[in-house]
Amino acid sequence: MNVETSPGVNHDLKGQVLVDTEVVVDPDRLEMLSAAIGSATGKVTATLVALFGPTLAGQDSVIGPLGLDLRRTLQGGQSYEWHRPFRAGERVGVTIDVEDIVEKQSLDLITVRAVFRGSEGELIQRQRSVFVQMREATEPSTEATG
Amino acid sequence: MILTPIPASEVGPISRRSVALFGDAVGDHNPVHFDPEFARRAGLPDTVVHGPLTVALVVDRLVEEFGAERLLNIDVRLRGPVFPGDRLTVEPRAFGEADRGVAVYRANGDEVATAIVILAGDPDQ
Repeated sequence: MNVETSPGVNHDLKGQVLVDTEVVVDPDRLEMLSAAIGSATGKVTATLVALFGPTLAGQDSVIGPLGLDLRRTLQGGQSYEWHRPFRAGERVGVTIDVEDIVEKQSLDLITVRAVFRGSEGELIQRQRSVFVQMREATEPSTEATG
Repeated sequence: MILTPIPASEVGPISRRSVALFGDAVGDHNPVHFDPEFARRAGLPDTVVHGPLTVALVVDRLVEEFGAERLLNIDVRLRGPVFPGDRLTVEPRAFGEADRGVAVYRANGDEVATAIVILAGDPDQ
């Protein structure tokens, strides 16, 4: 594998809020998500996984500032804590922060947390996404998958 | 402690169209999911399915079995790549005495994910 080296993960962002904004739960995107799931319950499931914190404000909102190199970064974990489903067309507040960055052998483990709230401030969902980035040009770890 | 059992189920095959739809739906256009040459340069044999899509498909099996209102939490560890065309098997797994969830396998037996699942109605919930 021939991978160019590039600046590593920006450890200074640990504990920092990267996104604090509002987004609308787009009905068209819910339909796409339901089609991607492709089952009889896909429409319901889509309302549980409608928004993905690390990319909802664009690839440059989280991936870029963290210094993640997509050639050597894969996703190693994803969690959801549900308080209610998203509703098509609703405006939700979202705060995304870098919960943790851990160095482990030749890897950086980056945990990005997203918290979604409804118009009354009620908690809708918490999610955590764990990314694994090789710090040097090595084969992808089987611990990470995408 | 008696936890609600989770039955085995199957997912897929996961099509490239599903991957494309998922990428558009959540705004994840990482080329490792769409560009075979990019994936090969990253040391992978093919593009890989988004980890959160694999998670969504597992969540969907749980929604079908229990209903969305019972799902409180899922914590997934992605352990291996999933490729377009893969058919996945979701099997119940206990994690110690207090937690249970599922393990997810490719058809060749590779374990690609494990997940701890918390349902409403379980003890302590």
